[in-house]
Amino acid sequence: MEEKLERILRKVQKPARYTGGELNQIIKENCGVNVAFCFPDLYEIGMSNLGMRILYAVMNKMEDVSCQRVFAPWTDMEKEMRENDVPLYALETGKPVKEFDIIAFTLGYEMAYSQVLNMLDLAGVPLHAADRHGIENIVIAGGVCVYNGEPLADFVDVFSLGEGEEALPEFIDLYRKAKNEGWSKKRFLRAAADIEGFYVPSLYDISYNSDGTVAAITPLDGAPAVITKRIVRDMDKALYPTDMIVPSMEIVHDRVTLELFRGCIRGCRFCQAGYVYRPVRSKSVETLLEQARESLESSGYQEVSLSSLSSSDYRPLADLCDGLLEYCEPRKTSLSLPSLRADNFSVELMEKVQKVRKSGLTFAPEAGSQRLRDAINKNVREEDVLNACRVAFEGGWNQVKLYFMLGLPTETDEDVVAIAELAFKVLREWKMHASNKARGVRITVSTSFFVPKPHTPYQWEQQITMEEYERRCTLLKDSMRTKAIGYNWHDGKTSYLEAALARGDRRLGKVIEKAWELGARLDGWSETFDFDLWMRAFSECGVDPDFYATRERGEDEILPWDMVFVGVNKEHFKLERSLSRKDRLSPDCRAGCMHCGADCLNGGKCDE
Amino acid sequence: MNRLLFEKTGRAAYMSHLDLMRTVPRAFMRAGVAIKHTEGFNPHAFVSVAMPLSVYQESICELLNFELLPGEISLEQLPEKLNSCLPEGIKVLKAYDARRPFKQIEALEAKITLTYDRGGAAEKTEALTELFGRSQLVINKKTKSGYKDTDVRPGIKSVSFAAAGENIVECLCTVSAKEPVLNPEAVVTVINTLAPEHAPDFYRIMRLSLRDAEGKIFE
Repeated sequence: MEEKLERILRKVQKPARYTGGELNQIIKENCGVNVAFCFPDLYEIGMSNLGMRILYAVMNKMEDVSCQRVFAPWTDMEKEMRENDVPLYALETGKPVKEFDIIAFTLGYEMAYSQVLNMLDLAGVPLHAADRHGIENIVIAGGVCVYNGEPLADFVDVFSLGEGEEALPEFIDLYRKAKNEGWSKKRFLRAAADIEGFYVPSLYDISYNSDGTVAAITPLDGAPAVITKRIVRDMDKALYPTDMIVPSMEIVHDRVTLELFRGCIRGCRFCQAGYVYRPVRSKSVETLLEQARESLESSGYQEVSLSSLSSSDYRPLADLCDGLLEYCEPRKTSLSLPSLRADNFSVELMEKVQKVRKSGLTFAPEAGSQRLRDAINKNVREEDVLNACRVAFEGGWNQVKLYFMLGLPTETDEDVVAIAELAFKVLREWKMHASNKARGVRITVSTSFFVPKPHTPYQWEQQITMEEYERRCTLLKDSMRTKAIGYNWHDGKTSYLEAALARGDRRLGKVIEKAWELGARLDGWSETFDFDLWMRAFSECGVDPDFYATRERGEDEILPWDMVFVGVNKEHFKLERSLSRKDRLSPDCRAGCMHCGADCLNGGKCDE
Repeated sequence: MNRLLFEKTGRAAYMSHLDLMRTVPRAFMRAGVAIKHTEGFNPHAFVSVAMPLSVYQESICELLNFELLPGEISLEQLPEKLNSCLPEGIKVLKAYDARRPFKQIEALEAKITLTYDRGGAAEKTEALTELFGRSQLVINKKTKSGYKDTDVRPGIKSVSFAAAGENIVECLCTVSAKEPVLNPEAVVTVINTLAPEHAPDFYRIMRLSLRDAEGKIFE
């Protein structure tokens, strides 16, 4: 490590964030293509991201390709870096980001947008794609946000839509050819647009109507009118890094994460992940057991977490848990499930996850009343929730967390109050069925502020105003009849900004840039988030955030993300939206296929 | 009881003591070597370190106690096995049966490298030698009951300075490892407080050895 860097590391908190050198990091010297893989948040968040770990392995497995990790510095480190002229560097070798061929970002959260600009600036790379003329420092972004990457279209050269395991190697091979043959950036980007799943925003002209809505999306130079996301067809063959990096400092998800399947059979109408990860593709029990065993052995972790959108929908879950326990129990290794569906929660499952260590249970009914749960297609009945809690209390659990959203389309005050009533009924279950009352009970209700997202049936809906959200929080707080139930709610300002950015268009680029100039950093952190600064950026740029957050779109309006196809037809979203307005459920994908269209990405196969 | 002698240098210096206490048991797990765990609700590996090392300090003489379970590999094979399972900068030098308890550690020998960006190492050496020749060195030091003015001279068993080139002064010191324990960092604090004009622009601290009551190396 350079002494210059060491000197500043003395002055910052948690210096291990910035040193690298962990077990299983990959250092490849003298490669033809070098990728700086940037995560626009802190080390402990980024290292908890399974997607980043997978793609790190995918790229480093390629011959003649080196991929190194870069994370966002906390404010103290940023200050030291700027004052001491230390440019943003990659952890493995300390090489400055500016010296990499490809600068890749993974974007999972809209509140990271200002940090993308900040990291480019810290690297000494021009922010605007148009100001980066050569083929070096190609900026590519992937992750769930890029299903509408338009707000970042000024800054990013290429968006990678969907899963990168197979797509990224194709992109890198093209880059290698372009680099070896001395292509211009223009020629490279045009060729990249021909690889399936890669969206080059500079090849699309966007025009607007006088009311501010999009008038037309016009592909230039023969670029495809619609870009379809990429998927991995066979999850058993998809690369999963079992020799993963083991951070030397504590990170958020400090454990082995097993991904059982991608996609979700549920079709909750608010859930972007539930739509954009379709179709459902599972790993086999054999694959998972082998991956769990290898990962635990190579990492030394003593905890494995089952992670999928709805892990309890994994068909052979009982077999998987049995197999895992057989391995885990003698090694004092625990098994955890991040959240559970209340409708298929069983005694057996609970006993399995608690066998080694017992932690709290989390259920997400999302809405308090049955009517609203039906409208959002949550497909969970009140008796399911109460039944699951009763089973848990009888089994000796005494901590239950209940997650809800406020501001869901069609929500009334009655629905809000119903959340308090449901929590109260859960408390009553504990009073009646707890096996051990001496330890008391902790029931926590958390509400977040609903953010309508692209590529969901609610993509046309308005978000309720912040004032209205706060009124509903207060209403709920006042409806809580007992102190035995704790209530936390999310800050409305963050979700309002998230809503504006999530369904934004290219005109938000200058707002993001202005906000960054004014000092916006790490907006997902309450310590650094400054809402007023963002509002100043909107007003200085003459852009109205309400236009994006609280405006209901017409179903015939051209949406900024209409050039992106996630596999689900727009007609399906419209149908689901109309059913929602009638409080009508759709069956889950297993009970009855609604022909959303996503199976077309997998040769007509889904959830087999 | 078994013991490891290991180094913690380079990038690993930025790992905190708590990080280390997570990393070493994981290395045993990775190596497939079973060690004794605590009993109880949350079993964890039973390991203890002789003297926790401050972040930023390096060491070539760290000691850690553990207990191999019966039927495990021999102690001779252990260093190689563990080293392939440890992050950069942590290297096991030796694994052996611990014969002497940690409480016999009396002193700690360390090298402090002081960097002066504007040079003058020779003059600094002279001034620092004189400073540490004083019979009392009172600094504001953190104790169990808050910050207190403390004379650290008795805790410094020996100290010497030597110029190494124009910008570097090397300090070799031996400090007390018995209550009241003195962190070698106190030497730098003494300079910064009592002779701020000689405060270094940067410094590194490297633990060299642990010593017993007779001044012999403790392992």
